[in-house]
Parts: sequence; C-alpha cells; structure tokens
Amino acid sequence: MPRRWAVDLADCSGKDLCDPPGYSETYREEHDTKLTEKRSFDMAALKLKKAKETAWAPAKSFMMTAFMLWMSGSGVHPFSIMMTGYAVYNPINSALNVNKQFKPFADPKADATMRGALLMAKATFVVLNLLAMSGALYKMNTMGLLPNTPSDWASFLVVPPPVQVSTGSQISAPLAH
Amino acid sequence: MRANILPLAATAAGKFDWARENVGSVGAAVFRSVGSQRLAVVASEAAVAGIDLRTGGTAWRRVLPEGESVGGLLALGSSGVLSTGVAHRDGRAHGSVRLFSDSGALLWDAVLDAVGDAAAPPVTAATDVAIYAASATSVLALHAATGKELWRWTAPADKAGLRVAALVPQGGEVRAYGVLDGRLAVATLGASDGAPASKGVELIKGEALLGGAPLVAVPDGSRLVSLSADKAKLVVHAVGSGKAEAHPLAALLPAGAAAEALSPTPLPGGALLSLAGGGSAVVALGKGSAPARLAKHVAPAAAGGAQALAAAEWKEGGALLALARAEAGALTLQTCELAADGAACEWSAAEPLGEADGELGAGFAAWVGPYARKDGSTGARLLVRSAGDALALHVRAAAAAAEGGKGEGGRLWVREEALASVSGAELLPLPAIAIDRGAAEQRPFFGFALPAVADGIKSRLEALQRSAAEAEAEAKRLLLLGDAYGSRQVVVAATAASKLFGLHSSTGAVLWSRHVPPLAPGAPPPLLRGPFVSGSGATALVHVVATDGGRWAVLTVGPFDGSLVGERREEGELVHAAQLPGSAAGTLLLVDASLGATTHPATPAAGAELASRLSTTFFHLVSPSQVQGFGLVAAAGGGVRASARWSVALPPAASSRTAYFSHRAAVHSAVRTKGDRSVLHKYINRNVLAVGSEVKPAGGEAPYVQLLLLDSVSGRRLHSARHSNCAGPLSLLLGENTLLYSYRAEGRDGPQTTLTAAELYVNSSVASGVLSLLAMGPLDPSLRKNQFDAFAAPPPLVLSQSYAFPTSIAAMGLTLTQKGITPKQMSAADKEEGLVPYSPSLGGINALQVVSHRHTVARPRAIVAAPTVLESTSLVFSYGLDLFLTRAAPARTFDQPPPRVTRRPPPFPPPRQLNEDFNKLGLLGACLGMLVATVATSMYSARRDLNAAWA
Repeated sequence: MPRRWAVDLADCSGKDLCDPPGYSETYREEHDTKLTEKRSFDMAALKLKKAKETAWAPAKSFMMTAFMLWMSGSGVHPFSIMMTGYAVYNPINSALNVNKQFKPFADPKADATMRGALLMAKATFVVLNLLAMSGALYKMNTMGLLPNTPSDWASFLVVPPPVQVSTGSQISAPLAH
Repeated sequence: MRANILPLAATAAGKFDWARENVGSVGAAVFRSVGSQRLAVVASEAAVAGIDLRTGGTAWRRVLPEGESVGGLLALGSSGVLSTGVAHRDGRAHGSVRLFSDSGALLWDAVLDAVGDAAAPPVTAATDVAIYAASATSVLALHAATGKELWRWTAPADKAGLRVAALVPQGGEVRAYGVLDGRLAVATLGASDGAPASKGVELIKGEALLGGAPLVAVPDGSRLVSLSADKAKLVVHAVGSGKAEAHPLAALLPAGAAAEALSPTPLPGGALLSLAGGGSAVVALGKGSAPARLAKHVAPAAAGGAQALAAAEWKEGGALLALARAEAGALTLQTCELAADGAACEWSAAEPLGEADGELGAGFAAWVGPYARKDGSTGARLLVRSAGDALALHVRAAAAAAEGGKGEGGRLWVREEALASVSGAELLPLPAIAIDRGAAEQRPFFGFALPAVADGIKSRLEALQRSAAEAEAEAKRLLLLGDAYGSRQVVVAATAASKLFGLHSSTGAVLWSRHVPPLAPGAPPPLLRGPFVSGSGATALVHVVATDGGRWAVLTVGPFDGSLVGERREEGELVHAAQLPGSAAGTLLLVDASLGATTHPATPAAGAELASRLSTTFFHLVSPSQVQGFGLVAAAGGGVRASARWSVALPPAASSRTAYFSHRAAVHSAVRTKGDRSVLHKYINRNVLAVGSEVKPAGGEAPYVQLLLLDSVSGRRLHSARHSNCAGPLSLLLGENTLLYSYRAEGRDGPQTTLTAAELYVNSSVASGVLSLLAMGPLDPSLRKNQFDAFAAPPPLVLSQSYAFPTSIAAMGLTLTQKGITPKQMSAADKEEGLVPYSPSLGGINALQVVSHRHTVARPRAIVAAPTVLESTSLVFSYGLDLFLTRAAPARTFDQPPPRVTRRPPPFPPPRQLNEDFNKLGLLGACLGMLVATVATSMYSARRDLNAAWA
C-alpha cells in the first residue's frame, strides 16, 4: 500500500521531464495567456508611437536644415547650391520611400484602428517632408535658381530684326528737290 | 543706370594696347640745334613738336588746348621758338602767342584781344628785351624772358577799322603798320611804354592795298612790301617815310606772268611773289631809290610734277632759297644764296634727294634748313610735307648715307602725319593661318615642351640660313598672319588727307598706305567716305568713295596689303554713299545730287539686290539746318531714283552732331532684367538717328542743348529733350536702346560737365508672364509680326537721368562683341543687387578705369570697336590727333582658354589667362611635391598594413 505523503520524483506519469514540485499546469496556462495578451498590446502601441516619431522626424531635422540654409547665405555659390540641393533632394527621397521607412512599424495582424493610425503617420511624414522641401524651394527662389520669372524665359523673346533699313550721310547744305 | 568707363583688367595693362603720337599736318617748321641734337620744330593746327632730325622721332610735343591752332613759328636765337596762333574762346577768336624752349618747355604764353570769329594769327616782331605781338587793332609788348605784359596799345575808336599786319621795331620805337580803309597806315609807339606819337595813326600816301595781302617787312626793317589792290604793282614803303612807292610788276615779271599773291616769307632786300598759273618770282627792291628788279624767276612745274620754293635765313643777313622739284619720280633740290642786299643769285646744280612718289607729285610744301659743310660749302636739309601729310626729311643721297639714314636715296625718314586726321576706320581680322589651326588640333600632354623646343631650334636654324631679304619677307609674312581668337586685325583708316592706311591692331605698325590723288588735274584733294568692308577672311575687300564735288570714284583695295583691286570713276556730285545693311555682298548704295541712285559694284546682281529691296531701303541726309529723309523708287526710264519723304528742321544757329547704332552690332537680349527679375522690353530700332545740337540763339538768350531722336525710316520724332543754359562740347553715343550724351551745364558754381543717360523701352504686345511665355514658346523672327516695322511700331518710353561727370568728354564709344552677350562697357545696368540709388554725381574716375593708363591720347574725336572671335573681348580703337587701340574685356576674359604652346612670332604672344606674374615654378614645385608625398605615403601605408597583418 503506497504511503500517502510519499512522492516518487522519478514517476512522471508519461512526461519526459517531470514538473517541479508544486507546479500546477492549470495555473500556468491561465497566467500565460493573460501575459501574452498584455505584451502584444504593448508592442503595437510602441510601434505606433515609433511610427509617429518617425512621422515627425522631418520637422525636427528641418530646423537644423533651415539653420544650415540660413548660414549658407543667399549668394549663389557651390556650398549654398549644394546645401539647397540636399535640402530639396532629401525630403523628396524620404517622401518617395515612405513605405520603406514605415515597414518596421507595419503589423499584418493590426486592426483597422491601428492601420488607420499608421496611415496617418505616413501622411504626416509625407506632408512634413513636402513642407521641408517647400522651405528649400523658397531658399532656391531667393537665390534666383527657380525659373519662375519672365526674365528666366527671356530667350523666347527674340531681338526683332528691322523690316526697313536706313543709312545716312552728312552734307553741307540741304538738298533742293 | 551707371556709367562705366572701360574698366581695365590689371593684368592687361600695357600688354595688348598701343598708342601713336602724331603732330598733324605740319604748317610751319623751323630748324634748331640743341647741343648735339638737331631738331625741326614743327607746328600743326593742334600741336607744336620737336622732331629729331636723325631719326624722325618725336623729341617733345606740346598739344595745344582745344580750340587753339598755330599759324606760324618764329625762331628767336637762343631763346627758343615763338608760336603764333588763334585761340577760340567764348565764341570769339583771340590771338595767341607762346614761347617754347628748344627742349619743349612752355616758357610763357599770352592771349591777345578778341578779334572776331575768323582771325589771322597775330604778327610778331622781336628784340632782345621785348616781343611785340599785334592782332587787329591792338599791339602788345611782352618781356622776352618772362612773357610779362609790358604795355598794350589799342587803336583809338575812330581808327577801329585798322588791322595791324606788320610790326617794325627800330631804335626806341615800334611801328605798327596796318591797313585802314584799304590804305597803308602806321602808328608809331614808344618801345618802352607804348606811348603813341603825337600824330597817332597816320595814313601813308600811296596805292590802295590788296585786301588780305600781307605786309612783309624785310629782315633789316628798312622797308615794307605789299601788293596793290589790282595785283599789278608792288607797293614798297621805306620805313620812316610818309609814302609808299608802287613798282609796276608788268615791267618786272617775265612776259605773260602775273602776280597772284605775296608770300609772307621775308627775304633780304626783296619779296617773294607767287605767280598766276604756278611759278614764283623774287623781286629785289634795290638800295635807296634804285628801281626794283627781278632777281629770280621760277617757272611753273612741268605737267604731272610739283615744286615748292622755300627760304631760310643764312649767312650775314642773307637767305638761302631752295627750289624742290618732284618730277618724273625724282625729287631734286636747287639752292641759291641770296645776299643781304637782294642781289641776284645763281641756282646750284640739281641735287637728287631720292624718289618722289605720287604724294609729292600732287603738290607739297617744303622748309629748308641750311648748314655749312666741312669744306665750307652750303648744304641743305629739306623737310617736306606731302599732299598726303607725310612729313619726310630729305638730304643729298651722299649725306643720307653719312647720317645713317634708313630711307632710300636721300629720304632719311618719313612720318605719316595723315594719321592725325583719321575720318573713318574699320577693323577686320587678319586671315586665319594654318599654323594656328594645327596648334589648335594638338592636345597637351606631359612632355609638351619638347616638340616646342625642337620646333624653336629648328625655326631658329632656318632663320639663320635665310638672307636678309628672305628674313624681311618672312617677318612681313608673319606680320600678316591672323590668330585663332581674331584679336590680330587690320585697322583700315581713311583720313582727311586723302590717304588710306592699314594698321596692325597688335602693334600699330603701318602695314600699307595709299594716297588718293585729285580726281582730275587741278582738282581739290578728294574727300574720302568709308571705308566699307565687304567679304571676310582672306577674300575681304575695302571700298572707299572719293568725292571732290564734281567727280566721284570708288576705290577697291585689298585690306591686308593695300593693293588696288579696282577703281570706278564717275562724273557728278555724290551726296550719299553707304553700305546696304544686311547685304551679303557688301553692296554700296550711291546717290548723286540729282537723286539718281546706283550701286557699287554696278553689276546686274547688285542692281537686282537693290531692286528687290526698294520698298524697305531708305536714307537720310543731315545738313546744318535740317534732316531730310528719302526712299527709293524705280525710275521711269529704268534704274532707281531717290524720292523725298520727310524733313525735320534743326534749330537755327546750331552746330549739330549725330550718332547711330551700327546695323552690324550684335544684340543678345530683347529685354532688360530689373532688380526684381521682371523685365523691361527694350526699344531696339537700328534706324534711330540721334541729333544733338548746340544752339546759341541770337539776341542774348541763353544757349541750350537740344537732343532729337528720329526714326530715320519714317521721320517720326521718337524723343526730344532740351537742356537750357547748357552748351557744348557735346558728345553723343547711341546704344541698342541707350542714348548717352554729355554737355556743359552752366551751374551756380561754374560750368559742370553733365552726362545724361536715356533708356528706351516699349510696351510689348507679346506676353510677359511666365505661363503665357511658356504657352507662347519661342518667337519666330522670320515672321513679319515679330519684326520691327518702323511704320507700325509704338513709340518708345524714355527713362532718363543726368549726372555730374568729373571731366569733359570728347568722344564716347561702346564695346561690341561677337554675340552681344557680354555687357557693354560704356553703360551697365545693375541687375542682381537691386536698384542703385540715384546720385547726382558719378564721383571721380577710378585710376584703374583709365584704359590708356601710361599713354596720353590727345584730342580724341571718335571711338570705334570691333568684336573678336572671343565673346568676352572686343578691340577698341580711338582716333583723333593720337591713335590708341586696346583690347577690352568688360566681363573679364571668361572664355579665354588656358595657355597653350604655339609657334607664334615673339611680338604677338597669345592671349592667356596666366600672365608672367603667375608663379609657374611654384606650381611645378607643388605638383612634384604632391607626387613625391603620394608615393612616399603609399609606401609607408603598405608597409604598415603588412606589419599589422603579421602582428
């Protein structure tokens, strides 16, 4: 007759590895499900938060860019042209690569609310990049690099050739005729 | 709008420019010795100069103030040379006297009373202590050393008609002889105080005198000679007597000879007469009451030849007469020594003085400088001014060799003084050469110097093997070679002395000259119009139209060697000659006084070209009182006639100047960009005529300057401006849409040169917004609606501003470049930095903006410009008394390539950006240093990497 308070540690009743003493399978399953749900919710919020930060990044970097543009002066020099070129190119490049930028934050299991929030972040990113680019374009305009004035298209206006020609001479007295 | 006066690139100073100093057409000359240097002091209308007799170089030159001219020179022993002339000031003519030392220093000068609008130079007489000068009714005594005025005498009011024409100082008196009411009159004045004798102005009994004839005092002051009113008698007055004796010339002169004029040259005991029909006569007056007699008669020159008679003071109060003849291509000299008593002298044997070209055959003037040879005989130098204003010194052929003369025969040197009277100039590039084309195809490589060095050695060896003649021919060939940049050009210049020149634009050397003789025997020297250039490159030709009022001729010459290619002579008076703008063949339009129009060449093709352009070809004639416009119509009997279309009256009592914008000048842009980058449409009308008039109204009204802009096709007045209380000198410059003119404004603080800039714009009918411009696209200039029609174009809007300018402006020019892209140098609008605030004064002239830098360019009259192949560069040629040519690069030399190796002759270095100031050794050292450093650091880096790999 087996003893009531005797525990055979070798008897695992069909398991490869015995459970530790006091371990309850039922409790573990119940507890793990709650934790997983909570962790999953935190990760999505974190991604969304990061996506929003990424979306607002152009605004933060533009301040530095604007400062550099201001420092480069309004003259048309290689340095100022290079600065302005980068200031125009970078926002365009970023805006075109918006999906690549936000890929880490995409979640196929995300619900509609989450997807909407991510889309909003992307839109913010593009708009802010366009704003940064418009600032650089304004800089280009002040530098006279944009062909937006009539003088830039003056080559369309040809010098009119004369229909008639006239030549002259000096004489000592008016000619009677 | 800011005036910008030819800024000079510091690197270009003195490298690409030259200046040529001229004296002008010599009207008087005296021979002087200064130590071992022998000089001819010569005077023209504009300058007095000392010319080294050995070399013909200018020892010194003094340019007279504007409006002053010299009429005569008087040698004053060791004191120097006294010049007498006329100075125009305040609209009146004053007598002017200046004393120059033999080294050219102006010792003193004096201005005599005003004598009217057209005065003769004052007459002078000198003693050891005083110099007396007389002009019109006044006599002035000046201290001989200081020029201080000692006294001044003016004829009394009742003798205001007196014209003092001779001064005879004698003892303590000075006798002022003049003509009063056609009679000889004298005023005897105290030499020390100018006090008149009690009799005042006395009339001398005798014949009535010829108006304008000189009163000539013989050198000893004993007699005074003039010509009677009928030219039939020689009037001789013994100084101190109360009468004048008349000697009938018929009894003195050879049969058939008649006196024409009395020469002002004083002769000892005699007088020199010019005879009608040529020839001269020397009349000896005889001592006391002895009758006058013919001492020497000089027959007229043979047909086709010319002669000149000169006299100079010579031994013991005598004179040396010199007769120079230019006949049969040879210049000969005969001399005779005239004794102090005027006794007859014998001509020496004719001595050859070298060859006489056509310029001497058409007439010349001569001055003789006698000197004593070592054997005691008398030698003579002959200074000759040809009909083409060339000044040359001739001596005997043997003497020429002794003096080391370079000239052939007896001509030691020649100076082309006609270059002081350039009336028109054109620049055209010398033909491009194979040597440059070959060099252009070569690509630089590291060992570029080696073939160049080899070529240099080879060419020098070849040069050593050449004979002198071959070397000279080679040098001449190299001189006529052009360059790839078109900066070596020939300046073809027409002069008022009926002479054409070809000058090299790089050195100013005279490549060739051609004198245009009178168009008929006895006719006046022809007036040259042009030059007109047709064709380009090696096939270019130059046409010059010569007119003398009754005939005209078109001469076609090669621009590079002056060879006469063709000549066309016609009878009639030509009133207009111009090149048809836009004519590919360079056809000339010629219109005579009867309004018949023809072309040159008179070929069917040229005629057809004119016939096809009848309705679009116009011309105008500018006379002192009006501007007349003409069109062309087909004549009833064939041919073409001019038809009067309009006329515009100019202000009376005005002297006018005109300005045009060249039909050939390139214009790049039709708009002017403002500070806000909007545009103003330029009014570009190549037929605009600018007429500036200096008006001096009668009746005491203030003078004014009037500007008129006319469309010379339709006769429309485009713009006019009147500046009250302003006067000349007036200069005008017309640009593509800019008018610049300067004048003198009489302000409260005195006269101030003012520069007015007027810009012409138009309200354009074409779109001026960006989108509309883009939608419209480029305009097609071949469409009539996009061309400038003088009868349909709207009038211009004129924006003008005036500025005070620090100095008077004599001439203005505008740079011309090949495409018209480079900014023009005379005026530049500020584009990018916004509008320049108006300032009433342009301030001082920056020294760096003076293009002539070390040269003094005297009395400039006009500035012409020509483009080169390089868009950045144009040649600017200024002519007047002096010539000056420089390269102008308004926007710096942005399109000049880096230096390259060519086999150019030394005098013409290639245009280059790196000048000799550039440290080429430093550049080479830096390159080698970088190379060594690169190799060394590579080795060090490789070794370190290897060590790191094994560690």
